[in-house]
Amino acid sequence: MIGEVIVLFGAVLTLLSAIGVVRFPDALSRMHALTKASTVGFGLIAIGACLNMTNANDITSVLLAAGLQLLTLPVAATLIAHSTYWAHRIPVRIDGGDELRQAADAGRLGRRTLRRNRPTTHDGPDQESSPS
Amino acid sequence: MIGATYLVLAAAFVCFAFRLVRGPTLADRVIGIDGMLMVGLGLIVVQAEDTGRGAFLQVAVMLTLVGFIGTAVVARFIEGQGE
Amino acid sequence: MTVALYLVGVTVMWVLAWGSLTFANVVGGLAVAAFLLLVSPDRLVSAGGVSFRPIAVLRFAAYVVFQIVKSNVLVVRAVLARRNRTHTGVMEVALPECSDEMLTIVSNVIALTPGTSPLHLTRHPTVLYVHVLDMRDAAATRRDVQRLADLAFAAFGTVPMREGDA
Repeated sequence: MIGEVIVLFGAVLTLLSAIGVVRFPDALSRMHALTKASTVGFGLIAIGACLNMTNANDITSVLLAAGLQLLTLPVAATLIAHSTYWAHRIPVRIDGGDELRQAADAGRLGRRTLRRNRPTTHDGPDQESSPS
Repeated sequence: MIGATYLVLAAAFVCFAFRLVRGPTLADRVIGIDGMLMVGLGLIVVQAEDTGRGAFLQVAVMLTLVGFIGTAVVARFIEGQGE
Repeated sequence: MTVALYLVGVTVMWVLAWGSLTFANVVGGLAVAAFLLLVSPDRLVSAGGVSFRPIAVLRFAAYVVFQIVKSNVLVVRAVLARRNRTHTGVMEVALPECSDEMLTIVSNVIALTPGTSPLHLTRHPTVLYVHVLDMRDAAATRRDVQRLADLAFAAFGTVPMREGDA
C-alpha cells in the first residue's frame, strides 16, 4: 500500500515536470524543469516499486537503473545547456543580467572559446522570437 | 491506484510528445525525447511491479545508458551546427 | 585508499547488475575493476585527487538531499503558478583553488539544486557560470553556491599540487 502511494507520488512529480516543459517560455528553463523534477520522480517510482517486489534480482536491477539515472542526467543536462547557449541560431531568453555574455565581450573567456563559439544575440524580456 | 499511475504517466508522455513535435528549436526536441525516455523507464518499472514479472528491467538499465549517450551526441551536434 | 574505493564501487555495480550476491559475481566484479584500472589508468585514482572524510561527507549528503527536496518544491510552484514568474539570468561564481574532481562534484550538484544549472566553465581564473531561474535574488544564490563548494571541499577535497597539473 505504501509502495503504491510512493509510486503515484513519483508519477505525479513526473507529470508536473512535463507540464513545466510545456509551459516554460525558453529552452534553458525547460531544461530546469526536466532535470530537477524528473530525476526525483523516477527515483520515487523506483523506491516505491522496490517495496512491493519480491524477487531480489528485480530489486537490484531497479536500484541500478535509478542510480545510473541519478548519475547521468545532470551531466546530460549540463551538456545540452552549454551547447544551447552557444549555438548560433537558438534564441535564449535572458531577463536579468547576463554575466557570461559580458565576460565574452570583454574578452575574458580566452581566444579559443571566442574562435569556436560566437556569442548569439539575445532577446530581451519583451521580445521572444524564434527562428523558423 | 496502479491504474491511476498508468494514466498519469501517459499524460506526461503526451506533454513531452507535444514539446517534441512543437518545439521550435532542436534543443526543445531533445528535451522532449529525454522526457519521453524517462516516462518510458517509469512505465517499465511500474509494469514490473504490477505483474510481478521483471523480464524487462534489464531494458530499463540499457535505456538509461543509451539515452544518456544519445543526448550527449545530440548536444555535440547542436554545438557544431548551430541549430 | 581511493583505489580501494574504486574497486568496491565497480564491484558493487557489477553485483547489482547480475542480481545475486554469489562468490562468482564478487570475484568477477573485482576482476573487471582491476582490468579497467590496468587498461585505462585514471588520474582521479592514481594521483589521489579525492579524499574521503566520513563525517563531512555525511553533512554534504544531508545538505544535498535537503537542496534536492527544496528545488523540487520550488520547481513545482513555478510550474503551477498562474502567471509566469521566472526572471532568468546568467551569473558567475568564482571558485578559486578547486581541482578538476571538485569542480565535477560541485557542477553535478548544482545541476540538482533549486533554480540553478551550470552553463560554462573557464580555468585560470576558475569561474563557473550558472544559469538561474530567478535572478531577482542573485546574492542569496551566490551564497548558496559558495556554501555548496565549501561543504564539498571539506568532504572530498585535497589541496592540489598545482592547478592544471596533469
